Amino acid sequence: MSINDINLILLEKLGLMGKNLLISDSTKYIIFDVRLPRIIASYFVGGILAASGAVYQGLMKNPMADPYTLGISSGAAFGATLSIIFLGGAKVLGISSISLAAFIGAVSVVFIVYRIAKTGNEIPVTILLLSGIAISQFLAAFMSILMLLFDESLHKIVFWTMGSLSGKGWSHVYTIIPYGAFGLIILMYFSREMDILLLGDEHANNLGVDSNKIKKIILIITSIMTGAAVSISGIIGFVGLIIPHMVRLFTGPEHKYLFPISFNTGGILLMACDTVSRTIIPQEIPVGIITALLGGPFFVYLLNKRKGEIF
Amino acid sequence: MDRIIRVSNLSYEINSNSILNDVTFDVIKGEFISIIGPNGAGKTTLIKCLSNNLGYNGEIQLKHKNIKKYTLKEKARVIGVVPQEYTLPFNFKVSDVVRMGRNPYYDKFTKQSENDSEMIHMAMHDTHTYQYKDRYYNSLSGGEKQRVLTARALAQNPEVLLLDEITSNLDIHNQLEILELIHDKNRINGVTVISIMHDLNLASRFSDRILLLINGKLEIVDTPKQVIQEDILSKAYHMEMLIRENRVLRFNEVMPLRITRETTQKKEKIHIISGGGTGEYLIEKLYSMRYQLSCGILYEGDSDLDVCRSLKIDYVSEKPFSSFEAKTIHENDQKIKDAHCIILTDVPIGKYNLENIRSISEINDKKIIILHAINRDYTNGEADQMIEDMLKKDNVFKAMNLQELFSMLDNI
Repeated sequence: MSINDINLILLEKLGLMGKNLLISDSTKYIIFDVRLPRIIASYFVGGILAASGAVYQGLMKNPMADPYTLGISSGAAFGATLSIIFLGGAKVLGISSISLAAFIGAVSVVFIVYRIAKTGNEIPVTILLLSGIAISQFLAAFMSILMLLFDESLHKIVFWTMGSLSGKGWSHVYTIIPYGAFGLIILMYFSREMDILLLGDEHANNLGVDSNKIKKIILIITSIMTGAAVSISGIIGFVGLIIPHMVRLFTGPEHKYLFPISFNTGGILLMACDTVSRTIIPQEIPVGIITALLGGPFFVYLLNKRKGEIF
Repeated sequence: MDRIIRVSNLSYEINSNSILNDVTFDVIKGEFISIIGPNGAGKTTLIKCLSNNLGYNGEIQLKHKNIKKYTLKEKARVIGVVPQEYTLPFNFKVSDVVRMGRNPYYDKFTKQSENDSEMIHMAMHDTHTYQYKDRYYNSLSGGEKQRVLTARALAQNPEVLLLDEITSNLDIHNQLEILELIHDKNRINGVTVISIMHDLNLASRFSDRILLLINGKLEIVDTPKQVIQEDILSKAYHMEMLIRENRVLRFNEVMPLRITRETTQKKEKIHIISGGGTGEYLIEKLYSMRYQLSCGILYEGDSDLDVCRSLKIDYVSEKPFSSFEAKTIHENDQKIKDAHCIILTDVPIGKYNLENIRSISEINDKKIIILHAINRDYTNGEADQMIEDMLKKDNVFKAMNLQELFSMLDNI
């Protein structure tokens, strides 16, 4: 199939062209209802992960942070595991129960971690980080027990946690777009405050930024965004960790550039990785493996080349 | 005089440990106040309370309004805080860091205005940071970082600057540079400055008033002349010190000597005849060895006399450029009589203070130590002759240097 055919199919679907009789309906279906939604979904998932990664690294003032630092991944995985084992991944109200359970798991874990870390009116990032790790480990252990007990679901669970975009249709696209688009807009709205938060809480307060309020809002927004992304794609690693660093090398730490460019870069990267994941070998590879496989060495190369410019 | 800050009954505790205890003072608009006190006295906590970063008991009024009624942005337009220089977690450019100082003036969706750029430029110009505006903040030296953070606070265009030990990590040049800059802002632009200082001499030199905190309590807040006093400072720092007026820069200067030791006073009394600064070292040294000392006769204005005053050592003095009065001589003779030993330093002897030699020339029952001097006679040989005669006696010894002198003191 040529690029021209794809263009023709798209033009037809957009109503700019009459029905094309030379291309079969099944081809049209594959292009428009299988490939296209998957590409769009991968863009938004990648974008959300990269932008959230930028947020977490800034908020924690820690270059090792990524969207999963607060235990979102374990929460989502735990939710998905429960759904796979006990509901067999059935649909609830027209949506996949795995996605729903993963989303609920992700968001509740962040809520719990936040409650643990909150002391008085303050949210100390060290405690946030540590309680995130503690809850993650706890859930991971619990998940392992479940996987041992219900080994018939083992394969499905492992495959889900590796992250994949296969089988994502338009319903997933419609779900993820609002989280991605509105999430990014809200993050952009707070980009100046995020810059100032990097100076430290007290310094931010002295410059007129209510650090605790901003932290709370940003945490809520990114948790929901990441939760939504994880719920449809499973756990895709590395995008949220590496993209913000990569972008920072070129834009500097200012969030008004970091957020949109990370979002775009993350989206495009995941799109590319997803394409690779379903084309290099006949069997589809979970995209999380590809992102780590390609992203790791590339990032090491960048780090070596531009040492001392990120931090 | 208009007050800009009123602190009333300020207390703060962590886990029922009292950090600040009932602190009350006013800050007058346009003054330079230094906060001094030992480590852990609550200085930084006080600054944090003033910038409203802590939940304290008591009240702080800023411009006659409770500081808690200010929004963070309103407060940031009045108070700028300069922290001790630190490293940022990400690599911001210097101009980005300074621009953050304008945050209190931004609304959402407003672009940076002409006025903002001008304030940012001014702040960088005043702090001499404009030349690094495109460099990375983290790549700057400590002094440069400190100036950038000062520029950030100045970009807030504040009426009050709070400084948290900003000179601590800087070399002497950078210390002076930053304090001169702050002092200019204070004197020329009328910015009120409240600054934590560890260096008592810098505090004494630059402040209008000094506030001393000890164990979370306000000990005194007054002019440097009143606060830089031995009895006050020794309470805070537990050290022996020499305090005298720096006549070049006109401020009270502290010279820390040593931490206070509990040594009992020796029984032996020593009378020292010195002058013209020849006794400063000796007096302090013997003081530290806990001898009971007296000095005389010294002229007013002599630096030896300053040392005596500062260390609270007995002395007899006379008006400058005059012969000693009978009353003074009598007073001095009395001190000599009380002493177990007399030391004559290498002080030059002239017509007037020859009397000091004459007073001891007839003494045969006490040890007299005369420090060797190459050229002390300004009396056409009269003084040298007297000293030579004295040295013939059994009780008079000549010390070639201070080391020899101290060894002679072992058996008086």
